[in-house]
Amino acid sequence: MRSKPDPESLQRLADEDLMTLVDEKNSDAFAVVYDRHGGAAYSLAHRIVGEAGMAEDVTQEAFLSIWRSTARFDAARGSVRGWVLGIVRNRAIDAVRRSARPAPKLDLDDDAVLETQPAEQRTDAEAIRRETAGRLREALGLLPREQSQVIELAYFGGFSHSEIAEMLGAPIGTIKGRMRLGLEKIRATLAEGFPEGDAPGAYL
Amino acid sequence: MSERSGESLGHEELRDDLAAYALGALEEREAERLRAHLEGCDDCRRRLRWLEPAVDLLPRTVEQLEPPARLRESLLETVRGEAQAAREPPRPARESWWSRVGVAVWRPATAVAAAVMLVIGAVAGYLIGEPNGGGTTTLQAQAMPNAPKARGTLAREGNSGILRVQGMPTLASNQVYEVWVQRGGKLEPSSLFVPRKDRSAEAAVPGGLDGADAVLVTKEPRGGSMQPTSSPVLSVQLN
Repeated sequence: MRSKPDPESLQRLADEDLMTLVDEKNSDAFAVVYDRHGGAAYSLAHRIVGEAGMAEDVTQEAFLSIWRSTARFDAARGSVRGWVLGIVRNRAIDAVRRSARPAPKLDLDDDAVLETQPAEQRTDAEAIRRETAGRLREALGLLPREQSQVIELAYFGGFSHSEIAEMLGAPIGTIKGRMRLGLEKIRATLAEGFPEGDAPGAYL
Repeated sequence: MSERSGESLGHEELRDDLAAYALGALEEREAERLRAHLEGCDDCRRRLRWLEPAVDLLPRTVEQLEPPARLRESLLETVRGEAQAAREPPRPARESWWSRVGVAVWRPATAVAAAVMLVIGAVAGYLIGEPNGGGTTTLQAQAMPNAPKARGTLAREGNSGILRVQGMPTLASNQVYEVWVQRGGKLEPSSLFVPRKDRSAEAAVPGGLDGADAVLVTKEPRGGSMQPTSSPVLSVQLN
């Protein structure tokens, strides 16, 4: 058996290398993955389910599925962060559907996002995460409302295009078109270097 | 980005579908159709890959909150416990199941006992083909906690029977399933089997059912064991 990396050196490993160790049931590597992405995961779960207790359950389930390798990371298909958040998103939407009550924050109003209380700022990494989120949100806010609205309903609300069409009283083709225009605009802005000099690799 | 002209209307429509697909907003039927199209369409695959970073950005726009410390603690506690268990062979658990049900494992006096272990193809085929004498009773097998999806029936005909199972957990390449007959707190080895790819199998229980209490199935090293080395995955109560 090869020597086990000490916790200090684990901190310096890339996410992809940590995931290899997690697959080998290295719980220290798992702790580092959680410390890097647990905050973003919990925040996303909270945004979707709208409630702290359920957000905690969803985050826990998602990370346990990662640990137990019921979900497998494939480096060819994207970043560890994107993969983790994708798992969290699916589980959060399932949780909302299972709990018969309607999820909050699906009112078609951006202000709801601002009602959640930001956490105490503890580390530099967190400060950066929060600042980036703020700027990305601003950038998203630059999209025409009709575009950001359908994107948010689909991604955070877990609604299908036909459900959204019904909600907004618009034809399905229109909804799909808005999704496409909105995503293309976000993507084009990303490609230009966005926001304000953040290299896409830095946080993506 | 540049828009290509001259593409068919169907392709254009599917391009609108790509964004909805990336956002997880297509109905399952439409998602299927698009996945089929993506198989053969490089252009759509490239577009989808191009759009994906925009979707990846969305979760990062949400207000960043700090998860409760107890979430980290409880996760790491679970994970460390499981890492520990993965390093150690699960011996205590094995023994506890058998001792819990009060079974003293039967040890054969001679190696001749190994002869009662029969690989399914041989005897099961014979028994399955045997004319039904009318005295067949079908008993349901119960899945055990370590294999909740396993299920099966025992078609008992007098002293022998056929065990038909589905949903059996995957075996390692050096393992087989072993059937045991439990009688008054003793276990006698019966047949061995390896499920098909669809996880189903038929196994003969060539005899020993008269006066027995249960038929059990465990995972064992290839070649079978004279006493169980793991907890049962299925059990059939005979009375």
